[in-house]
Amino acid sequence: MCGLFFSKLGSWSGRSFPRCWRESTRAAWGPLFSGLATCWICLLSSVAFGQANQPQPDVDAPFQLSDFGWRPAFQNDRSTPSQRDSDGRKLHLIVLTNDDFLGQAPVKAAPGVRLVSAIKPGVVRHSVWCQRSIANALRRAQEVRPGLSNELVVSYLPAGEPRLLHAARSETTAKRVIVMCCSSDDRLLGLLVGVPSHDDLLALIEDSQEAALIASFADQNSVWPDQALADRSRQRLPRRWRFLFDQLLTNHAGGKARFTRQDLAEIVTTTHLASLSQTLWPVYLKDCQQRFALELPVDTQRLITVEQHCETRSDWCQTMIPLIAGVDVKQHWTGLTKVIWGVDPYDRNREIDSLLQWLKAAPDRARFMAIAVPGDAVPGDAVPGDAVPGDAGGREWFENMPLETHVVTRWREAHQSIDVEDLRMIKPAELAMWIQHDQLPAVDLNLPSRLRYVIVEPGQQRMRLIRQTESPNRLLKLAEKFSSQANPNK
Amino acid sequence: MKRFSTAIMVMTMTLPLFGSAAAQGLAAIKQNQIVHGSQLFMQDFVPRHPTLQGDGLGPLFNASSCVACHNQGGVGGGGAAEFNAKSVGIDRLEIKGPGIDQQVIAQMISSFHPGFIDTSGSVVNIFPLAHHGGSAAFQQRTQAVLEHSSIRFASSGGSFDAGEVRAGNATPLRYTNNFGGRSIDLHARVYQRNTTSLFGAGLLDKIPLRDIQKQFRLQKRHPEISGRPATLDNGSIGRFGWRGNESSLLNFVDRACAAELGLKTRRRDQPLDPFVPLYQNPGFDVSDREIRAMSAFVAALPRPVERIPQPNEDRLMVQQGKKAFETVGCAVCHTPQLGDVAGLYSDLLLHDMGYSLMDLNHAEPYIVNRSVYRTVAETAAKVGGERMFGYYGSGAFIDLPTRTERSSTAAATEAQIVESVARSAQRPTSYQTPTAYRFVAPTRPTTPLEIIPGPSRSMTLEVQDLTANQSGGGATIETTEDITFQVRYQDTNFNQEWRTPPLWGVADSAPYMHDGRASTLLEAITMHGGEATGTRDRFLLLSHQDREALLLFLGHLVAPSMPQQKAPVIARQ
Repeated sequence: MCGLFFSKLGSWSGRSFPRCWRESTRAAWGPLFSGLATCWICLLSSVAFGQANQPQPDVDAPFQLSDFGWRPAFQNDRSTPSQRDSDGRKLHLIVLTNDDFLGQAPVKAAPGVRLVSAIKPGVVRHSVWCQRSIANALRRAQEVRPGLSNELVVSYLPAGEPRLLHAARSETTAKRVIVMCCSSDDRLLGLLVGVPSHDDLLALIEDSQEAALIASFADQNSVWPDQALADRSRQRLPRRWRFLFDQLLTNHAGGKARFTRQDLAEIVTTTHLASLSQTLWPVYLKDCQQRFALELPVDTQRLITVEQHCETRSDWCQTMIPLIAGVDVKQHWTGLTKVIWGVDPYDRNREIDSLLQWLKAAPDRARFMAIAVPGDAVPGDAVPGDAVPGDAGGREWFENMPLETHVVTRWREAHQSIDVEDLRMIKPAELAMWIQHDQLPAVDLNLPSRLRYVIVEPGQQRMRLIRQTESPNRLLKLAEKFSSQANPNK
Repeated sequence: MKRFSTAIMVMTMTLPLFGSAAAQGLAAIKQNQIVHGSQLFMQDFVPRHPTLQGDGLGPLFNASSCVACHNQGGVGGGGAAEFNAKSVGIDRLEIKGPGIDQQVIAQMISSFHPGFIDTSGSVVNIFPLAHHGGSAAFQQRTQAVLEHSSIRFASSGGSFDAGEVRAGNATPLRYTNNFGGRSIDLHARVYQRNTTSLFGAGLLDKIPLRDIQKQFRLQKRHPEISGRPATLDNGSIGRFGWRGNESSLLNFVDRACAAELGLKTRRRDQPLDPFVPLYQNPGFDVSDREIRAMSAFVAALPRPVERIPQPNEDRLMVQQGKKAFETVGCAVCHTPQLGDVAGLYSDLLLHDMGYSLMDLNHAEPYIVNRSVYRTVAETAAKVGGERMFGYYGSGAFIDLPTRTERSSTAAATEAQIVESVARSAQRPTSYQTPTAYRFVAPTRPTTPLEIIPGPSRSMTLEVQDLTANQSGGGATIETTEDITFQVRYQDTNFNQEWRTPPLWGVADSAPYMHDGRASTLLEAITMHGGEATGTRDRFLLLSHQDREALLLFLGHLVAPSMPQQKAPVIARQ
């Protein structure tokens, strides 16, 4: 045991030893205990990450991304029990991108839209736009730290708008990526926004291992956010970010200064993440404006482009990590992604069975699907639309009513005229999955204006689309028509 | 005849030996000069200098040795932001109250900092804030000025890091005061200059002017880029310094000794403490021999190298990045080869880089025409007062607005006519009403035409005595001639013009841009504006992989590998 301990201690040298452990150990416990503590950390970490009995890596073997178990994240586990056992000790690196969340599935083009890329029928292929860069970074990281594949499982998670909702056009938005490093039970340990270089990747892994170690020392009643993690971030942040970070620590979650780990699940909710993000956003924006000469108002396109490089959000991530370390990524990845991207990600794991059942439940009735817009309870509330109903002109009350209010009122009336059992609010992701499931033609969610209702006529595999700039009267008339067809006696 | 031919033969055989010995002797002298220069470069200067009767280091200085700042990647490299030189410049000011004259303006501005009053009593809008030295009063006032800014400074005097430089640029400082029945409202900013790398400076010095001018002509045809040479008053082209203010390495070293170390040379005065205006340095702090030695050492510094990556894939990435560098247009200004110097990545021309990179220490105005105006023993009166020619660039005078006087053509001298033409076309920088005075720092040259003094030159004139006989010849007379030049400027945004910095060794010279506001190369590229806007946008439109490849290529332009040189601890006593 002793020999093993010292041999492991000797093997932790140079870059393979987590830099931050050295720093934080020295800073926190002083020179007297640092040597002893370092030894313990080495021993514990080697046991924790199962390196004691690891086979020696074959450094001459050609690099393969599959060595890192490259697979979709949060999918049903089809691995063997022995694989699961070995993966249980590894860190989980999730590469979350805004690639089409449905993959490159065969799609029918909308009328008048030519398919840009040829896709073989029946083949669903998931791809990640930065796969080559990630592979390159992993290869270089493994050169620096042989045996990395024994410590890491890498998976990908495309969560971007599907081509099915963009009339089958490809490349509609600038590419984005988030890299999350989690424990084997998908607790967040480290975070990067952008495509990491091998140096970024190694730093992320080292930081995550340190965070894992700190978490392993803590029990359920330990104080959170962890002081060691907070100190680490504080040391790395520039002055302005440090100031904000200290403010956040003090005022965290409505002035409650300290929490225990037991509170974590209650504290870190989507709302909480959003409030954190709102606090950080002005500082981040100012920082980006100064560093990358972003123009006012915010040049979103350029911001997204520079966010492809890890250095852009580095300080933001350093600030966030102590405040969100330990959250269940499987549960909160959508909220976290929305905080970073500013838009809802598309979740492939969303259940659409109930939607399909609802559609099939009454084949003789028209089905109205209202497309939910974030923060929009009733279509038309958030953005009233540009169209003025033709029949509204000349009416006395119209003169005294603001135009916007009038349009919203008309949308509301039209919406309420739909039979409740024929109406269902769905998210764009559900729409896309339904279109894919039923092999319907692709639609465009945003052009010529935002899609608000999809109506499935009875007995037909045909969609009627109602858009934001159309007159609410069209919806009203269709609702009345299908209602009278379904209930002739009404 | 035979004896003569033998002598010729002996001479022919021995001459190369003599030549070789002479060359060896010269090489040895040069080598000694370089060694001496390296010692001076790394020497810690101290106040007082008994051998030259000078006052030594200071009274105001930014560091006590050259190597204190020039040390990134080895002796002679660039410097971190903490070694930035800084100056404070007045963007605009307003003085309200009765009876505003030049003296009142000087008094009011002195209450902010007396450094704005130069040695001739003129009020200028910018002056360098030395990091160290000076009287207690100077240090106290300087501290008070810096407390107005939001920058946190390192103990070495410069900004703590690039983020602090950006913070300083984003938050101008404001000073208000009331006294004597008048009020002043002043908007100023701390401007900084990052230490440039000196590797390969000797090669830069040797690039023929024709190659720079050729590059200038080439860019005239370019749809986006229009660099111009850094024209100096003395008719030469600048190639050293962020604004290209210095035409030769010798001048650059000479100026740096004076401005950074406070060492008075035979040509450059040292910056003086404005609280001790009558102070006179009793001698010179550094001799011409020492300047030449330092210059020889800097010229002998090796050139940076383009590191070749070993793994196969990286090499491809670097090649891909180099290709992208050319494709997006970086190579138009960052020309890979200038003249015979390969791997320089600069055209040594000045380019308008956009307002966000503005600095009130402006570039020298672009002289498009320079002609001898007068060559007489008397120097013609200058139009517009004494022009400043600062190390970091020139500033502007804060004085009362000038009036256009129409001179009678018949009675006016030639100088008066030129003066009249210049004044009538002058762009005003100050405005005055009976109860208010306003000044706004100029963004372009304030006058299109100027008369400037040239160097005095000694002449030997031969006077032939016609009465003497043929064998008698004539007499020679020694005379000194003062020359004045008439220069015509072209309108350029001289606050925004910067010399394209050579990119060789860029990987070892962070932070980037003239004031070190960019911590990384990505930041530096995105900060390009003005003429480079199109190039920057094309860079951002590249795929992520191409962008990374381009950055990787730049990351392979490194400082030369040099043996570790230890600075000798020789304090000049």
